[in-house]
Amino acid sequence: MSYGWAGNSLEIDLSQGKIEKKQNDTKLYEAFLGGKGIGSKILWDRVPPQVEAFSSDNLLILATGVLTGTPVPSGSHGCICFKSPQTGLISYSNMGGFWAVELKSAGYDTVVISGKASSPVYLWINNDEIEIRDASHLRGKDTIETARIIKGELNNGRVQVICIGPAGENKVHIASIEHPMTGDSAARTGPGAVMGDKNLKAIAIHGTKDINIARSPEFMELCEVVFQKSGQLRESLEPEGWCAMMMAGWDTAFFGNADDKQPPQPEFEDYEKKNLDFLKKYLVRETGCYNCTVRCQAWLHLPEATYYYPRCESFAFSLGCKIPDLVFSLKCCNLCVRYGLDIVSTARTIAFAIDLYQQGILTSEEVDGMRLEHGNAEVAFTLIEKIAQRKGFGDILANGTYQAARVIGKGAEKHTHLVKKQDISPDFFILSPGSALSLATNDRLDSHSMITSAISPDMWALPRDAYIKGGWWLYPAEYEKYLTDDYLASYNGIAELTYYGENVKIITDLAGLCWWWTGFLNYTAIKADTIISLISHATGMDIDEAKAISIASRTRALMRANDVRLWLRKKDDIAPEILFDREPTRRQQQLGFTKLDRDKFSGQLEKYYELRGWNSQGVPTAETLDELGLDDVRQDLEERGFYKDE
Amino acid sequence: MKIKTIRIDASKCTGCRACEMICSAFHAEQKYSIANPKRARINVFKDEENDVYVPVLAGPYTDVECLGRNTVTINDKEYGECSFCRASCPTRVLFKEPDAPEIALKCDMCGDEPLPMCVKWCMAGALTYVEREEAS
Ligand code: SF4
Ligand code: SF4
Ligand code: SF4
Repeated sequence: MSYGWAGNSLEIDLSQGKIEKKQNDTKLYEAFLGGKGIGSKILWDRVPPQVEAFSSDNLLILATGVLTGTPVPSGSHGCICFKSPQTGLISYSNMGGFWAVELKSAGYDTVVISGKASSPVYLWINNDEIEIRDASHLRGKDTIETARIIKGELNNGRVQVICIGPAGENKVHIASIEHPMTGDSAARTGPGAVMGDKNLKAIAIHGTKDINIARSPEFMELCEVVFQKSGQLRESLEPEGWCAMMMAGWDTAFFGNADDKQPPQPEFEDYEKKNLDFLKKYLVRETGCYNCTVRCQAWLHLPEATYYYPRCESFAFSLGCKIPDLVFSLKCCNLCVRYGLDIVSTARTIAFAIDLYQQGILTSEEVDGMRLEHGNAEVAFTLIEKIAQRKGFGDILANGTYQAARVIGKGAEKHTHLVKKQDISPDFFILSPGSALSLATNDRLDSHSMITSAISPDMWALPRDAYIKGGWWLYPAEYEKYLTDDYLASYNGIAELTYYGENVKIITDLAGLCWWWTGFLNYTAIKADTIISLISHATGMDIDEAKAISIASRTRALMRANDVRLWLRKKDDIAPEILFDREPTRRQQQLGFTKLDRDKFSGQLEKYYELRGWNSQGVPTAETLDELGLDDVRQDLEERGFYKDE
Repeated sequence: MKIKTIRIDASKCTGCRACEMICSAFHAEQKYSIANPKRARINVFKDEENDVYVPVLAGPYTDVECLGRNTVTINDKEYGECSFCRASCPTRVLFKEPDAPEIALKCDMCGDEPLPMCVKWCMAGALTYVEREEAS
């Protein structure tokens, strides 16, 4: 019997129509646990650098975590790993909801999908019965409709569906995979495009098997603690709840607009209050992922329609189009979810197009006769559709701002805000040096959940003592020394905090827990030692902190080596220029933030490399790789000449 | 006589299925050694598109299906009565051991536990425990 893990994985070759069930290689799972650890190992072994994102040799890997589906609250997540068409790097997206638990209940930790089907298909995983089914009737259908039809034809209300919309089918580089009606998606860096390239419209999952716990009394005792702690977290957000805090509580003036030199804009002055009133009126039900006490998602029932409430992303559209109206944003987000588009990248791309038009870089003729003005909702709605369908000018925008700028030319590049070719979201136009370093270095690029770990207390300007004494800070006691009053000016400890925070995020991902629970925003409901003990009790292995850190480092080094072998260099480990150049917003100034400082930033970057065991060029050293048991990776990098100057 | 009951407030349910998870774990042969919502004695009926979330506790086993099934209309949408039925019955897979459909599952109020497990784990307050006095 397998404990913690389900014990099996699936290999699906869509070109050959071959389905193979395999018993897990125990050693592999012990070395990488699950999630992006397993995913990055398979990608390293099987997707060499010459394989393009849109190649039948690219893989789409669904990887659950070792604690996914166990009783630990928030153990609902899984990871989708692939080579990204947007960045050309190895990428992954972590998605909650119910699909990952269902997959594990069906008996699988991991599903590796290769090849391309000759016509649209969907995959039906029902315990041991696996089928590749025709999906020609689902062609062009939006994600919500797709899931509804599939559930209907399988006649099983407990089926979980993840699928792509028209954007994925059209291989739009910023296409997402959606988990309709749960509010979850795997969106950043284009997983939907890879799925679309494989002609795979959807994956439907149903499972009825047990997930076993090795040392159940000890395991449950810890679950109880996590449950209580997360309950307190939830209560601290009452009465408005998590959603309200995410949206209305986030003062847009804090972040500013991507394209303006001097935010905030006057029309956003009472945005926060207006949003809160709006939410009080229309928020009827908060929902969330499997076994989650926090419930960070919600549905709003407006007279004209029901909208999923997409948290902080929703103001990306408001800011980009300068329309301070939550309903406008919700409509845009709803369209993105239906078409299967990444909300953040789509909003950025549209803001970018409007900006170029305003600057005279784009003319009406070049944009299908449209006038790309601010304040015009129709512009956004039309562009979303054009992007998803690759219609007219939308075909250029469909590849994200990095590639679009190169096609448009005329200095359009100056109007992009990127990290490693990925559009970053406006809510990161914050000047915390910790988040900037994390944004510049982490393997998820621009990810809300990944980069907030190092910065919590200062970013949110909380009373530090109560915060730390309450046990809400992610970091162990020895890190408290970095929380000095001149933290923002001195950059003291930023590399250390980023390094530690990133390790915890990696362990969270390998476990299949929710990133939000480990230090998103200002609070953490689960600290590293708890996750490590939970993994030990679930599997029966004995993992201590040192071992857990080495597992996290192994995953990190492997992703890094793969990206280095692709095209990543030290010069790419940089936060977007705007963070170094732009004056802080008024609210940011009040909290003590200043523009980023290049010298201090690069000092911390070097420190971070050192902590990771990478050389001054950001390449994992031969010793580091050997220590982590990645000799084959070391050898590959050696053969490619990465160490020849040493 | 004291009767143990669970009051369900469907309007508060978030659809998280924590109740199903903990029920299955609590009733495992070796307590908490497994998690498997499909073995729970509670099932949360969900129709997210129409905002209907209804936790249903498993009632008694019946060896004949009922005749003349009705429909239930909620917010203009019609549902088969089976959707909210508590019985472990021959027409459906619900409330039976997935690997041994001949074994019916029935809510036992968690035996001697002071608080039913599903109530304890329902953070949203959709399930509350109520003791009712009834003449014996
Ligand atoms: S906090 Fe939100 S994303 Fe995380 S598990 Fe809960 S509902 Fe899901
Ligand atoms: S635990 Fe409560 S909120 Fe969650 S599904 Fe069950 S009844 Fe609904
Ligand atoms: S009261 Fe106990 S047996 Fe009944 S549904 Fe709840 S957890 Fe299951």
